[in-house]
Amino acid sequence: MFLLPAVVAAASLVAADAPPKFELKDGDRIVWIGNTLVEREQRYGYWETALHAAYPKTNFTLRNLGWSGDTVFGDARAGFDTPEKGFERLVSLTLELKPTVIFVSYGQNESFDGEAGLPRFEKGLNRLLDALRPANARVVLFTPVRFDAVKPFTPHHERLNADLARYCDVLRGTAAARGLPVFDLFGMSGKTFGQGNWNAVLTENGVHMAESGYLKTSLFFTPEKLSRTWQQVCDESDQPAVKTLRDAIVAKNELFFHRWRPQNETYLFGFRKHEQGKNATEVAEFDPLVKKAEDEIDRIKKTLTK
Amino acid sequence: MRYPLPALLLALLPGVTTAQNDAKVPDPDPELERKTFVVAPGFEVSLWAADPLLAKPIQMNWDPQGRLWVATSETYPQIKPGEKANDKIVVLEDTDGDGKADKTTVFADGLLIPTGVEPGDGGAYVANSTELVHLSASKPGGKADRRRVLLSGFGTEDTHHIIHTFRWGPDCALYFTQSIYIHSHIETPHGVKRLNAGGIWRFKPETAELDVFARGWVNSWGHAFDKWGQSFATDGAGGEGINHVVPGGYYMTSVGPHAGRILHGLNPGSPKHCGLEVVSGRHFPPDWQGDLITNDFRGHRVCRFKLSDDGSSYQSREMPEVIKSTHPAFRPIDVKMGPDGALYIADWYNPIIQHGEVDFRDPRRDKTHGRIWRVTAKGRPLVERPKLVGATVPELLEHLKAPEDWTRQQAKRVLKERGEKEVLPELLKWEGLGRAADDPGFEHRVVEVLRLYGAVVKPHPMLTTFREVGTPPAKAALVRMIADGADRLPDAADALSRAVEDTHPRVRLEAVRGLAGLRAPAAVEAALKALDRPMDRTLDYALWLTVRELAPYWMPEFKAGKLTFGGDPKKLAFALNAVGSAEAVGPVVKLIESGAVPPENRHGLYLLLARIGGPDELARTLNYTGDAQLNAAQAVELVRAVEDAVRTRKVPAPKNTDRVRFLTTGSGPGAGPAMRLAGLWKVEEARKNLEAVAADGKESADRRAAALEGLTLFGDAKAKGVVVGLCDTADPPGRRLAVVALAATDPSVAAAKAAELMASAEPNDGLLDVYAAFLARKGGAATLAKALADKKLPADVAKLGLRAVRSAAGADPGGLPEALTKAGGLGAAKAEATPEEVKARVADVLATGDPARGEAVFRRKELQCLACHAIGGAGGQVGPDLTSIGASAQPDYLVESLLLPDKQIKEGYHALRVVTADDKVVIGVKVREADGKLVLRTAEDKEVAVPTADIAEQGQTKSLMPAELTDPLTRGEFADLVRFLSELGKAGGYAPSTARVVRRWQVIEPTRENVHLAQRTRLAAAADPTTPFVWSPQYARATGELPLGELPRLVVWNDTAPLSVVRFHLDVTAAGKVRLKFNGADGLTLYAAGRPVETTALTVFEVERGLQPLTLVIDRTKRTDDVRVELEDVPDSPARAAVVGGK
Repeated sequence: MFLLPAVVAAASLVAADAPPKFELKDGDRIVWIGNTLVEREQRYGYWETALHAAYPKTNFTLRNLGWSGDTVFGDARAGFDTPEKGFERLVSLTLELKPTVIFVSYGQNESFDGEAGLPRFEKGLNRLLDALRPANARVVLFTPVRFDAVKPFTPHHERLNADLARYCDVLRGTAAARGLPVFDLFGMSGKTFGQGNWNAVLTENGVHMAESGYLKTSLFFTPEKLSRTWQQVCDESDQPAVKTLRDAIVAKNELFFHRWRPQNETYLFGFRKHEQGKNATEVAEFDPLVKKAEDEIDRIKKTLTK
Repeated sequence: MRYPLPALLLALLPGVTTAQNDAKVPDPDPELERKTFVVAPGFEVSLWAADPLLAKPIQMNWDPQGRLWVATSETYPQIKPGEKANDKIVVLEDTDGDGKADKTTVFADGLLIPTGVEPGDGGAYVANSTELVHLSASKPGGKADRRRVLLSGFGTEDTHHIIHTFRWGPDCALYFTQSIYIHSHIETPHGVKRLNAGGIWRFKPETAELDVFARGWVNSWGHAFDKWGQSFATDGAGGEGINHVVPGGYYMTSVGPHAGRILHGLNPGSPKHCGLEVVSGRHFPPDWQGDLITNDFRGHRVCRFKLSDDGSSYQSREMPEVIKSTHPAFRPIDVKMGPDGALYIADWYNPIIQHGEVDFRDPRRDKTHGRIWRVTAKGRPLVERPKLVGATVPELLEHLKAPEDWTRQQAKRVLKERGEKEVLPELLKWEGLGRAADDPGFEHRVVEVLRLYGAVVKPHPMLTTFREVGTPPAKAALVRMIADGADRLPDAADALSRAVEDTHPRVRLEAVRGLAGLRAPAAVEAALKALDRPMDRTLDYALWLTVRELAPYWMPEFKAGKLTFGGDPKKLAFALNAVGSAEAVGPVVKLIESGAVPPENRHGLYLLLARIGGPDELARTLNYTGDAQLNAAQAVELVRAVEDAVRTRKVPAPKNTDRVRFLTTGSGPGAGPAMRLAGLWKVEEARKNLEAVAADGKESADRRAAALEGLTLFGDAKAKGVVVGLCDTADPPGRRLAVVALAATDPSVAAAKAAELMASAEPNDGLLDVYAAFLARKGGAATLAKALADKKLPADVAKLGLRAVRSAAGADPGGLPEALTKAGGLGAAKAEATPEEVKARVADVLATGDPARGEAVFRRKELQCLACHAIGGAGGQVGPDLTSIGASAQPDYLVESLLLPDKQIKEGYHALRVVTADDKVVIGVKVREADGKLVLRTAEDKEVAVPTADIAEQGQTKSLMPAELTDPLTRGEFADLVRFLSELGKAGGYAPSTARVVRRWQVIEPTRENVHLAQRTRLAAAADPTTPFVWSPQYARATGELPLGELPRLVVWNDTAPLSVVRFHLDVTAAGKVRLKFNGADGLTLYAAGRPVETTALTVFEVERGLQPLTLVIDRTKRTDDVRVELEDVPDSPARAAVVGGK
């Protein structure tokens, strides 16, 4: 059993006794919900690769349901419907995948509402966690990554971070109250990168991590014991064997994306489905392809951990 | 070179019932395609690039080197499981300058339907599904191997709506567009930006600032800037031609907090257009400079529009086409001026367009071809391609003097990428900043340099004090720059405030919109100064929007008494009207009580009060209806507004309701709403009066219906008893009306009464209302069906019921057709058309269909086609405009649409079914949703507002077009009708016309009332501005003539000549002389402003500003030709007029 150091550190801040532990188990189905941070990870795959490295002998799958601009209210998922439907969709999609583990990664978009938005965020977060209860899954909360000082994108980063810190407090507090573990990306990015080392190479715009940012931060997901090895892996990200695994993960993510967020939804499933709905059957054809891609991930993983 | 499947092979494929079923797969030889082009005189078209150099071009843009970057997709419309998306960005180059591309480089591949590309910053900005990415190559000239995701979260609900139409603006920001079905949620360092409909985005890559530049449109694939930076847009699924884009403005289909009012395009009634470019440069003749080029991709035409100033906006005229073609795969979709001054056109080359109506996997979708055509002026030298990339900064600055927009814009881009350090020192010492003695280019140079400075350094501090430019377009450009840089210009507020007082309306427009960005109470006072000078429609809109956007900043100050609008009631009234929220109630009352409001503004304020006020304000409004200043129509409007307020906002009754009772006793049209109001407010004193009107057989049906509705609204047993009693005892019309009223409150009792009534009823049209009353209730049809279960009905009465069910398209029939069939002893209902039948009908169309006969069928009154569909913008607005339906929809699609209207429905025409909390059903196409109301356009072409708070259920329903509409037609007539529709928009007699032909007419029918009026007054009174006659709609043929034979003859006295009286309207935005061109003036007398005008084939006369009716009296003994009228300009006349279309 490996314990993620970040989890321990964060949890111990708020829960004096028995910090909640996180571990992956054989057969786990992880579903990851959140905003741009989560959505873009799927195209780089470093975090997911790091998880596999941390749990080399454990079989698990990961489904990324990140959506840019999303919030604990499901704001980005409403489509043609009312905002409330966006929230319902966020919950029902997550539950449909029968997760045993749910990563919840929100707070940054909400933090633009400043101090005044805190009570609404806390309420929304708790409503979301309550709604996810039927999954009976182990839930892990993430704090957002810091805003970095990259002129001229974030001349206002200090103010933004001051607000963001308050939202992180809500996340940590909620986790403590519910006995949930926290991945404290905010704290970590503060310590490691926040002092001016966090430069434009790691983010596209001071907010959203570039590929290199995901590579660096993937360290959070590796247990201490492995980190040296993983550090080397990171330093030589083109190391062929790992790259093969990461490529397989990215390929799987792309197929799953076409499955759950297909283009032309209006005609396939929406209010014009009477026109092209007959082609909707094609979308289900991605399921076996995703399964095949996951088998490929397992196969490569086995060759790596031999 | 790859060839598509031979057409013969396709014919052997199993019959798939898809739109464009008979789409021909043509021979793909580009020369054969080119030979079909009819080119504007003095021009020629050559092939610049074709497959295999590129396939399926979607969008193109030039780089400063003169290479053409093209986004292409073979994956469109939908990725196939198991296939890897491999769409490309290709770069085309004419390396030897012979006027033909000779080199293709694949810059990027592995993309998923890239719908936009704009080169810059060492690579290219690319639309990649949910993302905006910047791709670059680590090796110069190599393939892209680096990718930055700049923005993500764009919606993909429709792959021809995803982000597209990339273009660098004059400010060096990246402008791009998304279309109606797209919902985007974009995180930026400056907050999350959301846009849940169409609109144009503006993005500054260097700061990641993203905002919405303008909102709306269905599918806008054209956006271009003119020489001075004004921008224009076209819509690939709307029909308003060129749109002048006002910053922050809302256009058709907009969603957002201010969607209650929108701006319109400049050419209503146009076919759909794709792409947009402004002609500029020495290669094109002088009279083409500044003209707009866009594409009618359905009608295979490249179109040209000429703009002229019209107040703060423009007038736009369609000119003869640049290219016309009959080639079924010629699909011009993008157009750009090139580095050599020629015009380049991207031809998507496909016999099949669209993917809503046509199967994603239709085998005839072309996946391999594509062309770039080059239009040049014969005998005019090309422009030497400028060398920009290796040029020095001073050389690049010299290029800012170029007459070609292309060269200046690209030079600016290169300078911007060189950066401040390199550019600024040279710019400061550039001689081009000076003004020579005779220097016509000076003002434009100033604008370009200030823009460059703004893009490379920061907004120039001198912008706000610069007095050296004096021409309106230059001033307008400066004001836009001030507005955009306001947060970095300390005296921006003063400068914008001064510009509101400029002499030119476009400068005022920019200033008014710019002030919206200041977010300060003083900004609204500054903007309202615009009212001190002449206003026009666009300016009025801009001010309305600015006042609303600024409301959160000024309203609190105003309520605290800190903001006074200089004590000017006109400004205060405008501001409060624009805001239109409950906050304004107190101030409006105060303003009215002050007595300072000029008489002409009072009616508007009372309307506002009715819209937002409580019981006391509604009472005050009703009392005002007795004011001597009001005319009858205004008084009725106020009573209706009060009724509407009580219905939508549930305003309770005021203490004193005497006025309501009084109004119910009136004989005018205000009594109807007053009687309903009496019911809503339960005005006991009025009850007797309502009962009397309801029972009185001598009263008009409208008044009786209002009285009955009023009674049911009392909602008590006493009122119900009266209505139920009338169901049994009244005269036949009274019984019907009573049942209709009762159906709204007690459907089951009403159904029992209806069943009794129908068993012995005469089969007349009044029964349709009875059936309709049940169909308009949730579960109403089922209730009536139950009541009819063991009844016998006269066959014709049952048939009327079936007709009512068909007309109520989209309503739940609830088993009523079956019940009617049984009760009426009717035969089995006709089965739905089978695919075989559709096929046979399509064969008929091709074999026997005749378009001229078909048009006569289309125009038949009983078919009511024109009641819902317009041609060339004239006709009903319920269904799609059919101007170019034939150019996009193939006969099988048309046959299916007529026989099975629900199968395929055009975007924007899906009907909504809304059920209110009290079970009322409203069905219609969504017009807008704003200010707590959902507005639907019903099948009767009426706009109905439903308070969103009252909506219990809402969902998509079927087409508003009734099925079996064409049942009465013979097989031959049906074939003719489809043939006519399928010719519309195609080259030939039914092609869209660039002339401004009068298509929407009104006529005086020889009804008893009209003839009586003519006898009492005189027929010429028809031409008076306050004409007392009742006019009926009439429309010109598709070709533009008003058929004389269809016009009613009026014989006023037995011995007078038969006359026809028709009229049309001009919308005049600036007064002056205009000309009407008649196809001969025999027998015609034109009346303008109520006075006869000497009428000749070319009649010139003065028009005043406003909506002007023009009446023609036709002496039928002297006129035998059909009447065709075109509006023409009089040279040098200041007049700006447009022919009014619509229903």
